[in-house]
Amino acid sequence: MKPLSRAGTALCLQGLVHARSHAGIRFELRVPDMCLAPGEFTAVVGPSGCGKSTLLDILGLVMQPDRADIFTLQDHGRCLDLTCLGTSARAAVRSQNIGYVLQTGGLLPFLTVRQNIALPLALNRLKDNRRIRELAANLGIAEQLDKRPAFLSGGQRQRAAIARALVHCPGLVLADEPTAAVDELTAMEIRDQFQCLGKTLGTTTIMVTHDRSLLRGRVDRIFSFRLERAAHGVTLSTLHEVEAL
Amino acid sequence: MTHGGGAGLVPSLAWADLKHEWVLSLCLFLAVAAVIGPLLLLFGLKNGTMETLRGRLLEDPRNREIRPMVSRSFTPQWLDQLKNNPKVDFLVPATRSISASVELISKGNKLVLEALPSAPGDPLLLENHARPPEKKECVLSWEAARKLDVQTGQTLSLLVKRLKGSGFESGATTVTVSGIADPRATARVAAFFPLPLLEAVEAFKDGQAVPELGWNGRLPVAGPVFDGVVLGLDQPMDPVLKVRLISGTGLSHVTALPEGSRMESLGYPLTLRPYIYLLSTKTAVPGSVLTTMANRLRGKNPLILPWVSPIDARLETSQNISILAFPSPPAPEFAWNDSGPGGKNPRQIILPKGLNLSGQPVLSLPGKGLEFPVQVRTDQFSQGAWALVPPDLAGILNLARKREIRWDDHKDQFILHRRGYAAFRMYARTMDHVPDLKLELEGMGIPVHTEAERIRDLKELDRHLSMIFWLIALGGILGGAGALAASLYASVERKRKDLGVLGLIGFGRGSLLSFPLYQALFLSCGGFALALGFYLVMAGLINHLFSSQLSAGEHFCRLYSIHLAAAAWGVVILGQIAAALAAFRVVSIDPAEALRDE
Repeated sequence: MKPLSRAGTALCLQGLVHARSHAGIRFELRVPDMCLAPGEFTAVVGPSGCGKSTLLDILGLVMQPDRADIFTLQDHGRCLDLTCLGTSARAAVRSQNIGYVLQTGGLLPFLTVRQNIALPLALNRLKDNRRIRELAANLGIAEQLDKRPAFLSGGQRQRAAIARALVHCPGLVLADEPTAAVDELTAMEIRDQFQCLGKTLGTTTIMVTHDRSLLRGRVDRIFSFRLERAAHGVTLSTLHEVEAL
Repeated sequence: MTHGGGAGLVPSLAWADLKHEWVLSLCLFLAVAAVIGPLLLLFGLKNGTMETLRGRLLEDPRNREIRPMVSRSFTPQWLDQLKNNPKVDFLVPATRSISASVELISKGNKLVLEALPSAPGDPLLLENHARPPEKKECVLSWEAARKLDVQTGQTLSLLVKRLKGSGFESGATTVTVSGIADPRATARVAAFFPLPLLEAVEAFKDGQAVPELGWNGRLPVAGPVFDGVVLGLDQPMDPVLKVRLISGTGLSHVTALPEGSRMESLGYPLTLRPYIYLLSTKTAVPGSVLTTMANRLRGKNPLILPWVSPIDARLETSQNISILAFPSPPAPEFAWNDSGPGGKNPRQIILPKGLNLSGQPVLSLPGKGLEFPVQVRTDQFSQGAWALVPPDLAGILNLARKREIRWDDHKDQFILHRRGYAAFRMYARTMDHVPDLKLELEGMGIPVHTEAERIRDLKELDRHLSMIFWLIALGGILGGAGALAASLYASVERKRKDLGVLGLIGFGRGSLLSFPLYQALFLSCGGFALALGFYLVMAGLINHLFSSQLSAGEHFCRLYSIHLAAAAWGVVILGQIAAALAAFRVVSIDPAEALRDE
């Protein structure tokens, strides 16, 4: 499979501040610096309520941060500024530059696996059956292409979701606990296939997970959240890179 | 950055989703069809029934008939004018009903029946399977044919009777039955004849001869009428005498004619009496007025001469001339030749000097169709630019100004044409023209009978049925639209996560919004197709079941393409309105829900 050439920083997020309030308690997410190189396989870990989903919403362009000094994404050599995009422009960036792998795959039940994988291509007015077949073969789901998601196992669904996330060669893939619904052995297989394909395609991957054992020695970088109580009723959660778990 | 937002993909995704949930989709198809199908059937029944009733009303010419309720003399010109009215389909003059009974005889069966006029294009006969009669033909009503026991093509004897003194005179001829009208044409015992035959019957009953049928009688000879009387007296007319002469004579104006004005007014000098008066009228009076005047002036040695106002005539083809009456007595030295029938020859003329005509030139009245030869008196000349004729001829020319007269060369007589017709048979072009024509005729003072009330009743029934249909349709449409809206909204709620995923992978809001709209479109079209199938099957069944009561081309249940196209559009638009709520819900789905709900 032909890797995509990337140079410099694939994703750069600096000086991000996003706050939300609930029941009189203010939660503030801060990302001082998160710059990732093309093809890097990155993990984001943290306890429940630390802001992982909020970060994923912001990185997935479904939520606009309160403030971000730098928020850019490389797109085939162009640097896209993501701080001030409108709704339709964000949808366009999502369709062309970002891939998603959700906890249970997020496959559309009324489409076959092949149609699910082909959806991002079709959305970008592309058609590449050979690429679909290669991805499916690499992920071990070539036999499942014409089945509907309901007839697949959990692992097969996740592999199909990974294929859908990578089929249009996005610069960034966001995976929200992609192995949470499968057994440990399958989780490790999926992680390895995900990592391998990401490297091959030059896609930067951010995987949010609770399972720290899955990451040990297998990811390029790990980010975690540091929680602190700044004042009464104010919780600060700051993303920082950790050396090892 | 430009992006299509996946708009082109949405229809196939919406369709794939419907296919995936085919059981639910089928239920929705059936729900739409269950609302639309009966409505189509209901509207088809209403439309078909009304069309059939309306068609029957239209087809039955009796509903377009306009009958005058008064008997008066309708002139041929007036009838022609009415016939040329674009709202009139057919008109034939009718003779007096009292003169329109004849006796038909067939193989010993005798039947006195009502004779009605007909003519080519008679809708009552044509639409009741009978060809309008031609010369020497008749069409019998169903009842008349039954009583006479005759068939089309048979020849019947026609007998017309008239009372003369204490006995009857009869005229007979033969007619062929050209057709027998369907029972619905008329329930009367009647026969339809060409108008000329009915005119002959009427003339015979009036005592006249009908030479072309060999029926004897008198000729309708034209008699002179005058515009006044020239009266010469030895004494001036006193007011009492004036009143006496005017009263009951038809004369209304008395003008004294001094000697100097007599030539101008009369066309000849009159010096036989010292006092000359002109007693005139605007309406013509018959020659008998002369006798009446003579009786009232008995013992006064009056001179009584007929008078007509100047008549514009034409000699040969180019010579226009004014004609006046010239009685013999004013010129004792002059006498008209008496070589005509009864010792009179009124067709003589005295021309002005200088008019080089001799022999028997043709005299005509422009625009009146009367032409006849006159004998030019070469021994006399008029004393002005006018011509003089015997008073009888002047009176006949005067009558020709008001009535149609023809010259019968063989009989050497002036014959009167019929004055007018007592009634007419008329049919409006369409049912909708009936009320207009009724108003027009009633505006002319002719009360008429029409089927306008029946037509109005039908229109009212149509309006009421439409109202009932729309009330039912409104209930059905509201229910159907509500069911569709609820189903689509529930479907969107159920697929919130999937729609969130679509939003997450880059489908724009507009594309997502169209997802339920496309689904509503497919459901509407599918539901309508199913409803159409239901309607076609049921309509076919209903029309088949009632076929024995329907004529060819009639339907109890019928919708035209335009109705179906309108219904299809209505269903699609209603479906889109019903889907609008679901579409509104789709727009409010945040792609983040796809992430979080996992």
